[in-house]
Amino acid sequence: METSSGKSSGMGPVAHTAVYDVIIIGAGIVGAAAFRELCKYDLRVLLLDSLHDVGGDASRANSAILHGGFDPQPGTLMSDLNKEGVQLWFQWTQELSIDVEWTGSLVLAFNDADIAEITRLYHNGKKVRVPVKFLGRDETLRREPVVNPEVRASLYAPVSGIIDPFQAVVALVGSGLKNGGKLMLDTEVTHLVKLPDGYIAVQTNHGELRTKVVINAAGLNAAHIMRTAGEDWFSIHPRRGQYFILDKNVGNLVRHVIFRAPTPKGKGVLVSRTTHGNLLIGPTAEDLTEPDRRTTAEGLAEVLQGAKYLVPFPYERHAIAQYAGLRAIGSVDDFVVQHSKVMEGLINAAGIKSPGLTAAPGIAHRLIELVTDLLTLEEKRDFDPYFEFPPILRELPYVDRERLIKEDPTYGHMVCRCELVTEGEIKSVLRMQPAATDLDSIKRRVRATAGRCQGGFCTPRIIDILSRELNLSYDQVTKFGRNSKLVYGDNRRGDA
Amino acid sequence: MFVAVVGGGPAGMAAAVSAKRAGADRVVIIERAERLGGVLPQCIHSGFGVNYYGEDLTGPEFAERLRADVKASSVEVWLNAMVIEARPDKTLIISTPHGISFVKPDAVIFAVGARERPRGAIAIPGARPAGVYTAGTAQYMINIQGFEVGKEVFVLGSGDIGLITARRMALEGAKVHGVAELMPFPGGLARNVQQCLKDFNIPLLLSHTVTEVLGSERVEAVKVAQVENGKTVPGTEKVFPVDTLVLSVGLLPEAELIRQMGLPILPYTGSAAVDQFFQTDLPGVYVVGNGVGIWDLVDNVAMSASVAGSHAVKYEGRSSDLAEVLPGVGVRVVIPQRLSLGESDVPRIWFRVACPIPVGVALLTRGEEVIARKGFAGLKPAEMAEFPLKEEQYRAIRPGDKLHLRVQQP
Repeated sequence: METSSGKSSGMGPVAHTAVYDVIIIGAGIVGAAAFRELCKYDLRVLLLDSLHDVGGDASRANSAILHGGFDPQPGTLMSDLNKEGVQLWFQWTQELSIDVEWTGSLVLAFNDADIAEITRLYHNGKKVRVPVKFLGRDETLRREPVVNPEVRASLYAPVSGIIDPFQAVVALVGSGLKNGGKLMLDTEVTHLVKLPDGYIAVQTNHGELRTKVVINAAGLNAAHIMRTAGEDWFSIHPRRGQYFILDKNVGNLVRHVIFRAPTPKGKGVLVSRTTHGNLLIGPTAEDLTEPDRRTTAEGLAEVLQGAKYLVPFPYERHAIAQYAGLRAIGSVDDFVVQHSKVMEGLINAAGIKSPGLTAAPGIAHRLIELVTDLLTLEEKRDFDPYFEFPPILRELPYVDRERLIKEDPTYGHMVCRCELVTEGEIKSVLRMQPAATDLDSIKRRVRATAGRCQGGFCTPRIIDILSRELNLSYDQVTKFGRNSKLVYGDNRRGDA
Repeated sequence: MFVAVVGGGPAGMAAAVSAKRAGADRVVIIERAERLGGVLPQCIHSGFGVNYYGEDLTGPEFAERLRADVKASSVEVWLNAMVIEARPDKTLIISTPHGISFVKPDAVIFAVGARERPRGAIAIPGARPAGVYTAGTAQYMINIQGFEVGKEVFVLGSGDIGLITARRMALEGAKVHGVAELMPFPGGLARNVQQCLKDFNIPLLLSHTVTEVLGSERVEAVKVAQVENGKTVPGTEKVFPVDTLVLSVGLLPEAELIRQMGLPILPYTGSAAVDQFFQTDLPGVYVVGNGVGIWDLVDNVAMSASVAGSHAVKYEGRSSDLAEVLPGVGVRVVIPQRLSLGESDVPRIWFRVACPIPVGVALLTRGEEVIARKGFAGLKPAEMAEFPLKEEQYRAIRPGDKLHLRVQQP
């Protein structure tokens, strides 16, 4: 078990001699799922990411939905892997202690075109054999009384729901690390070069790595990675989605995930609970030429308008945060999960847009099949399928909290008052694998700063904890690595 | 008589001391931080205590006075102790470094203070880099932790905390590029506009707001534009090259525990309704200080809390007939929202206006009938105005009355 940061651990000389069976580029949901599954086998597996934490880009700014599988065109890879993904998530969320709720979803129809659309989706669902029901107006309003009363019908998909995508990636990577995989963060791949001895040289900002197989799960950068290998038939552009997160006090506005009947641009704005009990509305669907993760006044207004149409509610009064994520839209209207057309040993998982989060386990299994074409896979006898997060006190019975506090009094010291996160929990995620190292990675693991005050109370206290536990000077404590420093130093000590 | 006070800021300390002085057998302050004082220790400027102590004190001095009173009055103080659950039967579940404790007092006084509205509450568009802080957070980092929070700073919101933080950052050596205020008038006290901005040559941009945050890792700039009728005016956008954005865009009572007690939350105060003794509709449950609504001065916070502290002991949770007080035209907030009738002391009503009123009359009405009237000069949204009722006015109020407090300009 080992996590190394290319930046800090002096990988230079080691990197030149490090040889792997499989290197996965990208620690988003697809890379993490493939990592976990490959670590079942007797292989040397390395997971790389250019960012300071696992979780990728699109994988940490999305709708956090497990889609029912009725939406993609039957016969496409998206359709097959969506369905397979739902089934695997059922098992994986239990093995890996990932928060999930099978809330079911409703796609609402307000006019004739919408009804034609949900009728088409109903037939899709029947064709691919996922459970779907067509509900009339009364039944729709009975299930979800708060929706716009102009609703005329809806499509109900019982086997769909909500998941914590941060936890999912952390657990998948943690499972892989526990089973012998390795992780390098802050590591950017610059080139892939096929060597005469059959290996692929993975050139990075921290030196060269050698491997038999490369899995390209680089999200928005997947087409760029392909091009460095000389493969230029595929391109990707970002499609931005903007969201609002609302206070937990209104999290129970809806029971199901509520969609509008889709348009060619996507599934439109949805209204959903999150597994943590907040309300989530969004996304927009803006096609961009360059990656731009900014929210905009127009985009946020569009989200409010879309959500209010589905479920009339004064959302803006309860807003606590907004964010934007980028989906990787490929030049082919399906997932690309296949061997490279030009470089033997390179496997691409590219153009993974929605339902990528849902399909990730299915994509991972498809990737294993492709690896089998290249390597002989032998199952490890000691593979441990289970992963446990460090204890989350607000989810424990009082007697268990009491026991933990007796063992370590910092479990009784509340740091984040909104989400009730203790100092002990924060310290535990600095020690877990994959470890948190900054403010945002703590947020994604234990929710500190994710509550209604958005870190107003706990940020200064977490700066102290990070500085003390990781032995960092105050100006080395960051929000998300690199230059995202939270303060410029300590005026009293003059070490700025 | 066992009184539990949730929160050890100025309100909590004042409530605890007054409960003890009124004869409570046991008074416990439950404070989540490692020290008493609430936000006062970080408020190192002066301007506190003129009404309550008759002296101009700094925040830490004010806190120290109250702390000395707490010490002298044998009030129990639990530090690093946070109430994680409050039940309608007044059971409190408390997380402490010694374990999980359950207490069931005869009276609970919530002196839980307020939280600052974050960036997300006003949905400022743009990137999400490091370097966006609420004013209180910045103040804590500067005054308690001694951090250098920013070098080039812009402040949104001209409430007192925003103005004071702007000056504090200037004193720390930062360049404060400006303070923007959405409204056409400043949100803070006039003395703070003078002493914090004008004296430091910090520009105040009225009817302006931040329209975008720029920067991929740390804040690199903010865009600021003029606002007219709630909309930004095209072509007025300016870019300020700053590394820090400080937000002073409002406080909200920290009402989660109060909500857990099953008390409805009023939309205009963000907390439970209380009577003139700061008792909620649940007998024996009180909410004081900024937890019940946002006050202008800590003196009023402490005053409100002492009233509750002694009432909790003397009345042991009994409540009398009630009338209701609601904010009417021109009034944003009234405290209290209930009047207990038939009490020997005649109550006063506090209110905040929605916009500045140079000369006006406040009217307490029952339907068309005017129960009480009082002339005011220089009403400002930044200040809590005080409306003491006269004996005959109070006695004219009947149980179940719905009264409105409104402000008229001549």
